[in-house]
Amino acid sequence: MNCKHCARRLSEYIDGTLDRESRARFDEHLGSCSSCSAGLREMEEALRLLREAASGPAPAGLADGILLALASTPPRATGVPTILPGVPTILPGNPTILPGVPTILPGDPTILPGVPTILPGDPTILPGNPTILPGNPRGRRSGGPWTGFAAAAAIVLALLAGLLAWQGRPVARRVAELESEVSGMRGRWEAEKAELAVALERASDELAAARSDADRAGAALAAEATRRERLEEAVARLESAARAEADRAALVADDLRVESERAASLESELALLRDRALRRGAVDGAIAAGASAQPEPVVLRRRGGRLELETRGHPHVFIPRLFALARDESDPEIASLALDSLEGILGFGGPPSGGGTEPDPVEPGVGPVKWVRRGVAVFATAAVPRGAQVEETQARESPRERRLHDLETVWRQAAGTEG
Amino acid sequence: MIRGGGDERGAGEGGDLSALSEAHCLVLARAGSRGAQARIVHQYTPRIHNLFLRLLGDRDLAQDSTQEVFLRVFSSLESFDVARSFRSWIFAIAWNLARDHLRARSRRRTWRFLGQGGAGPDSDGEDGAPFDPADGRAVPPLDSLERKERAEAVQEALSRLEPGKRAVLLLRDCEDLSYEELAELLGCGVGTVKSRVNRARWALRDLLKRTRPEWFDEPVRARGAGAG
Repeated sequence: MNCKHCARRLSEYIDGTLDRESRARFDEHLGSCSSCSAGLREMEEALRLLREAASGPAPAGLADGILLALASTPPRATGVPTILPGVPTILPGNPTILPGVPTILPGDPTILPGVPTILPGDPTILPGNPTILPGNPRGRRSGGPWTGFAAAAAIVLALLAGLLAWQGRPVARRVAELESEVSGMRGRWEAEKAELAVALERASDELAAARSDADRAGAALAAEATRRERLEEAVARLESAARAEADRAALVADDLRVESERAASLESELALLRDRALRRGAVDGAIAAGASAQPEPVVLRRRGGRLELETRGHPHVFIPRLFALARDESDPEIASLALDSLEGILGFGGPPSGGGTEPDPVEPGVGPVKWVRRGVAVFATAAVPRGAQVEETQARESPRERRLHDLETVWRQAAGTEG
Repeated sequence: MIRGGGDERGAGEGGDLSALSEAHCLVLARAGSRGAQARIVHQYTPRIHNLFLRLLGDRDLAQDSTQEVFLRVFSSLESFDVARSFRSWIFAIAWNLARDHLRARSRRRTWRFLGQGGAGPDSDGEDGAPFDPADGRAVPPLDSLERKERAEAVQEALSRLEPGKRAVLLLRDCEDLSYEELAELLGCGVGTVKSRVNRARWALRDLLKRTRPEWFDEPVRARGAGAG
């Protein structure tokens, strides 16, 4: 880019019609060249002055005058600058007829005395047209040295008039053709006008429908916007609530973590306590095992639905146990069996009714208790005085406490005897 | 005589046609609608008149020429293709008419100088009323003098330009015709039009700078821009 190139394309730069690359090169050059940048500034200023000066309204009434002229002027065919081939144009605005011939001004159709008048704006000259008359009496335009030119012009115009007259017949035919053509054009114009009216009405309907659609679309859009706004508000509220919940959940999680740590600590402590308790329980179990190493003096078991009682060891051991069972009324069946066993052992009856095997008959008698071993079991029987037989009957019929009392009496006697 | 079949249409039609596009208006005008013609006339009269005023420098001739342009337009509208640019077409008609006037004027000047003893070749030789470049513009009183001075200087510079340069300047920078429309109007290529516009702009700048160099100093320019 140089200054010459810049000057050649400065207008395109101002008009913004340069491509991006050229414009960039222009900008680069203008930034470094004060002469070209001044030229740009001055040209823009000149154009601003031109636009300011060369704008303005039309004179008042000009447009109306034009419309009036249009209304009073028949439509003209364009491109008819000449009347005949080889004949110069006779139109307003082109007053020259022949080189070297004085100007024929519009509105001043009279050229010279004796020259036919040619009215401006009516280029058609028919045979017998009264607008072309010889000997027009109106005044002269000029004289003196121009007489020769005027005479020449008169001759030319006379020739022209003759030619026109000679051509009059074809022109008349041409006029008729043109009028026919124009009437055809008028028909076409009418048809086109009607079509346009229909099209205009249709376009108006479509426009109204489009406006209605646009209104509806606008209303729907507004409703959608409102709904969206509400949704956004709801979402904002939910987000706020969610944030609050998240904060609260974080606090709960912290609490849970603390609680779980405490629980873990408690579990650990509990495990220690359990361990300690197990150790202590083992010791207690060993003690209990040691304590329960002595054989149970009275064993109760069920066989075939019957409750059996078996005594083991010495009578001084199992008889107090039987008394204890007989006094314990929590289980009447055991208490009854224990009582019956005591009565049998202490000589009030036969062998214990709950015995598993049938014992050998034992003679009821008095004296110390006799021991019968059968297998692992030892059956005891006591020697009961004879006089106690009555008491036995009485005892069987007496209430439970009485029977126990009698049996304890017998046992104390027997134990005392034995002892 | 045949009037085009549109006499029954009233001037009030223009109000109904205001929403139509220019192409529709042209079709209606071609069918003889006076309303459509009125709309076109009212739309283009200021611009055409302004173009003639700047090109010819004669107020009466500008008015007559404006009227003549519309007579030519509506008489030959039948042959106009509405797919083309109507703006380009009507300005082409105006430019052709202006060119005819300029040529005729140069011939008349010669005759007057030779035979009638009228104005010499150095005078403007205008036929009609003198032209005030700032005429008819509503401007604030305080600014009107300065604005009038600027308008006179610009018109003086325009009158010193060749008609071709004057035309491309006015059509491009005042009427906003595109380079393509100008090319169609002038019957030449777009590149040629660009070159002509550029040369015309430089010529205007040179003339204005030569006559009013103070306008191109930075402070004055800023004041002028503020006034404008």
